[in-house]
Amino acid sequence: MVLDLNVAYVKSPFAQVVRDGDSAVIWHSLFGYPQIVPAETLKFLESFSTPRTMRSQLDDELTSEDQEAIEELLRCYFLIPEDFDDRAFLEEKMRTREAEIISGSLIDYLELIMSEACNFRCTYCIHFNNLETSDRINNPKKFMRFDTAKETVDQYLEILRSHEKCVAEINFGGGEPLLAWPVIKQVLEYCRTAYRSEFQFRFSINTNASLITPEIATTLKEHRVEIASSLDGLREGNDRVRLTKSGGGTFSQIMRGFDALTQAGYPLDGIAVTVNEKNFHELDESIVDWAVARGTKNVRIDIDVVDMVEIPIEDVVAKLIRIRRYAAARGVDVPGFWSRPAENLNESTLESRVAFCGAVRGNSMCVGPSGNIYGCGYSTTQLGSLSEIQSFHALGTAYHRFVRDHLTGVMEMCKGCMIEGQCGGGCNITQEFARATKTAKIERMCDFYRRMTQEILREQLREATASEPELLQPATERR
Amino acid sequence: MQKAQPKQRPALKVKALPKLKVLCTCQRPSNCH
Repeated sequence: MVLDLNVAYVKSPFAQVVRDGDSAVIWHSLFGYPQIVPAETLKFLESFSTPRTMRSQLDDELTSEDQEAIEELLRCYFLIPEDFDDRAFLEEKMRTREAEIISGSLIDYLELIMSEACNFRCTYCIHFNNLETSDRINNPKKFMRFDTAKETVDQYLEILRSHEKCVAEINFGGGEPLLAWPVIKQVLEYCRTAYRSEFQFRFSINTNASLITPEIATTLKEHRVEIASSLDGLREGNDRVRLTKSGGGTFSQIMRGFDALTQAGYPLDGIAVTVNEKNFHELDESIVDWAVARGTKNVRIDIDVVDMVEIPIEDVVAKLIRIRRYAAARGVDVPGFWSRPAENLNESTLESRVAFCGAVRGNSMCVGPSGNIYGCGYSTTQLGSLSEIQSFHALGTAYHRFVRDHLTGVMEMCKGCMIEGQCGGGCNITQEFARATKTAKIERMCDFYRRMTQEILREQLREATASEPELLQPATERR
Repeated sequence: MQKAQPKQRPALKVKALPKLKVLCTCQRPSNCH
């Protein structure tokens, strides 16, 4: 938008503000564009609560600094012409994305669901909890066979090839994928033998680590398989929620796996900690100290907030922010699903495909042992099958509808939320589970994400103003 | 010619919020809340 002093502008109803002291962060809840402004500039923006011209608000000539600031307010759609409809503008933009959905060009991630079974029975496990709400739990094919995996890999790479992509991400998921280790090893070798000259592979595995032997650790290292693994606190916290099938603690088994990786010269970069009502009180800075001692650089903390009805959300927010600060001072990153909306403010929905995860963005194909395709490995919504994989993304398919229905601004329940464009409805599995059981408190998730986003933005604002104090200085008095 | 009086109002300022570090998205545990 070009600045016109005689046009009437108004503050967008989607402009959101988080204040801290004499400054604030403003963002557009549909489009993003987070900006830091001092109180004076915020006051100027808020003076456009009803339509008025710039000339009426600025009674003398603009300095170049003023002009730049106003142009930024316009560029970020915080100030809009009075006849501008933010949502209609977004809808028009999203319509242009249909073509890339149905062409299959979004697909760049394959998960092979190696095993529907697991040797653990964690109390919060969404894989089992969600699968139990559908027929997927009854599928007799529990383990991926090599012929199914090979066919899937061939077909996936054909999709990538048709879009001239040469980076192939393949994730081994489950259940516990290492229950099908011989097949994983075959897949790794097959990719190397058959496709090494054409594709650059990025392998990853989500494993509970308990089955990692020295031999497995060495092979994972050889193929640079990135490892995502969990430890839900130190022994006491972990063993309250992560149990074996017979109800025993799992801490020692997990640590054996971690140690095997370290001994193979392939230590974990990060761990994920899942917290629910049972281990929330054990969660504290000691997990960060543990990570520092092992050279682990990130500790992901995910909160089962939907079910933690006994613990007030403000307590969860306060503890996470406290641990995050403590970790930052020690060079450890602490993200989680709750940081995703704030992370998504890095890109504008108008210029990038911003979504809560790769599944709803349309990037993922997750293929199970029976050849059924899902958007996420934990989903019960079948989007296709291996026998029809080449038309998986065509117009009118379940995949097409799924991705289209998750484009920014489409979800009814999100309309008007302060992080509508950045959160996009949160985790789709939480939504699926809530729909199936009608018991999950989705509004708690929404409340939690909104509060965490605001607190993270405040933290970012403090860091930015501390490192650049002139941000808030009334540097040049206007003349 | 009479000069305009200096104003007391500070200049308007807008600065992009620094980007937040984003870690690998494959680290996805078996919980999605």
